[in-house]
Amino acid sequence: MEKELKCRRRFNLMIIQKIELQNFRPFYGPNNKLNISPKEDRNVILIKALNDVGKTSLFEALRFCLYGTKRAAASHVNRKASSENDGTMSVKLTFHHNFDQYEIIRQVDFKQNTDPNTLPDLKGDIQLKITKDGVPQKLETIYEQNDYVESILPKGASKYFLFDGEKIQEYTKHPPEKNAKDAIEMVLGIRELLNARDDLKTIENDLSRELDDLLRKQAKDKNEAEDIERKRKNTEKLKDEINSHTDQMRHMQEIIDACDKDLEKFKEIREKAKRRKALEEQVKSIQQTIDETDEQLRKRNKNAGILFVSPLLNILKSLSSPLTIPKQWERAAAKALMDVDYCICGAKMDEEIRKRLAPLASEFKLTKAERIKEDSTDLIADTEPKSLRKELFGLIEEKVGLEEDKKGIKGLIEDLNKEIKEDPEEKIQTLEKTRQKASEDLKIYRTEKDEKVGVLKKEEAEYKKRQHALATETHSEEIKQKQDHIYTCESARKAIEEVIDTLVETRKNDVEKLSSAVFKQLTNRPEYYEGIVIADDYELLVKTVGSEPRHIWRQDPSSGASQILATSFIAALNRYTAREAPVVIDTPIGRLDTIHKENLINFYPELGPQVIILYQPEELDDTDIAKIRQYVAKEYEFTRDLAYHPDITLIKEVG
Amino acid sequence: MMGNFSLNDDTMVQTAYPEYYEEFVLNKKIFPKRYHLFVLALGLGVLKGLKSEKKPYRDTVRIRDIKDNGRETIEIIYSLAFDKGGKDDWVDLLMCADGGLELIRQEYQTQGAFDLPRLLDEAESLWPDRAKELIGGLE
Repeated sequence: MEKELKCRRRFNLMIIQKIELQNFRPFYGPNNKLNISPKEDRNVILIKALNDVGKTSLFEALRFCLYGTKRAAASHVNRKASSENDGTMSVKLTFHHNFDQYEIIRQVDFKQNTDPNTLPDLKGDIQLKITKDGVPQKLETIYEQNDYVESILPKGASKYFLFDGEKIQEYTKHPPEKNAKDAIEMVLGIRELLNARDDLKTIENDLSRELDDLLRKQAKDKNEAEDIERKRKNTEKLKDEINSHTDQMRHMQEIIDACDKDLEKFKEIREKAKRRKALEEQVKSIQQTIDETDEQLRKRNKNAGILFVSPLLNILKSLSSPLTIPKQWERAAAKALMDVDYCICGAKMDEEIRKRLAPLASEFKLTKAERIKEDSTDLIADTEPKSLRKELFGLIEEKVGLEEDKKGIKGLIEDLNKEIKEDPEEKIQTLEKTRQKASEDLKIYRTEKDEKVGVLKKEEAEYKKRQHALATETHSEEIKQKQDHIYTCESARKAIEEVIDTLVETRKNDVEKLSSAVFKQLTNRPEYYEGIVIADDYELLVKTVGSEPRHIWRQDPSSGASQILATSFIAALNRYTAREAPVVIDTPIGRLDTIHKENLINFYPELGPQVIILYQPEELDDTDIAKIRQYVAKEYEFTRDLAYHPDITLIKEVG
Repeated sequence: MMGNFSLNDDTMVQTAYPEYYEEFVLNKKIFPKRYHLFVLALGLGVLKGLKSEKKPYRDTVRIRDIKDNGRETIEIIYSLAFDKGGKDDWVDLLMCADGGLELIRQEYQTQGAFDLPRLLDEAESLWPDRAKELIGGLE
């Protein structure tokens, strides 16, 4: 099987050799060409441009050439060209596909438009010209033309080949986009087989109906023929009912999934509400401490006056000593000796000595300044303003800290308020009820469907048995032929179903294994992730070590991780695709961190046989390019001549 | 403390702004007692050489009832800056305190809060020069 797939892949290989742009967006005039054929072992084409210079326009040009419609065409016309004259806008792709050489030109004529605020009018319809090996293909209608292009690269599958690195996370959406399953099956080559199976089933039913008609006309037992036809109608009715049940089940499942998603969201909000409440309690407690500190501070304000004048008291305390004033020390000594029994020399202070010292002692008197100094000294000793001040500022500092804490927590509460816009409890209750009801309905529909499928199997078996019996006993060549046709269809359908079962299983497993391996190679947390799991609807699930596969949105990965997840999946799809096309990546690095970026740069050359990278200089520098230099076949740079033609992009080959 | 100066126990502290005392002490409870505010206002008035234009008329507290070293502080300031032996010395002191009170009120209204740390920082930086002037008056 693997060998066969490889052969087919080569067969479906598409390689773009040349892109030619005429008056398309910033590419003015007819001479805008890029030769982008890969060389042996060099499959990477690099195109560098600053933002808003033409990277995305080239990306759009590829899409326009393959799938463009008139509706969007006017917005692609180069403004300078349309302001000068009537003209033509076109994009031409030259490429190999299935060993054949193709040219596709999509073009439209436009009228002159000198008003820079409006789009130019278009002349006639869009024209698509396709040549294969130099022979123009006759494709009458636009539908035929589009079908032709779709057979080369279906539009639905193209998003896995042409993608924008910044928007790549969209591939990990839940639920997957409506057409994701079809697109992926198309890429893997399963879609065609499914279509063939469905077509064969339709033919089989039509033939069976025709056989019933013949039996009604030719069989001897008309009653049996009519009865058989009724049985067929019954089985068809049963099938309709089963289909309707399947639709209902899908609808119920969608409701359950949507409820789960919303419940997850509202439960997160509930957690946030809990956290907010805890924070509000914290604020209350801090406020209480602040109030207590305020009260302490208020009490300390009784010392405000003494603290305020304490610098003055300190200065007064340090006034010069009274004993430095002449004679003052003698007076002070005489006054001091009058109050003691013995002098410091040991002599007794008798009446005679006291009498002699009395006049000197009576002359001792403090000056005003001395008295103030003394009082200030006493007051400082009494009040200790230094420690009062220390205590006060300690409290103030504590209060400032508490206020900051309160402010920080209030900020968190405000952030949470923005996220909690409504009361989650009521929503959770409603959602849980809705989910419960949908689950019950789903169970009922499933049981009923299973019963109906059982009945259908029996009815179909009996219908076929009786149809076969009646047809055999009718001995009609026409009926026998019809039976043979039915049998052939049935055999072919069963064979295809077997192939599909095998293919779906092996392809999905292969893609799953490879995307997991690539993801682990690219992620910056290989030890955390076990890999990628692909659900039946091709939604990507992520599996971390020791856990069940989970929806990516439940895992809440960073945008970088999402980009890596999606890239891994796309890489694996491209490896197993039934149609190998060039991979064109606009904005390849997006907002990735250094490790993801480095891993991804090294991986890009492995993405496919032709990888075209449209980057801006800030995404990839010379060091980054050096890592993949050996794979680079061609390098281009888009520039603008700001002095003369600020709106025109010039294409320059570099390197 | 045994002070060298002593005001008469019955000396009455008066103000031209009884409503400010009511606001700061009774309503906003920034100061526990009126005399706590009075001592601060007096210190501020002396530091900045302020003098209210209004004559004090309303009794606030008697000197004997002033606690928490307020009386001693008032006495030191009185003897340092006001005691010139004249009969209006005490009134001058009261008008100076009202000048300080006017400033406290004005700043409270502008800032919406009583900012003691800022006042203390200001006192630290301004007192040395002001003290020189006052001490010079003693010599």
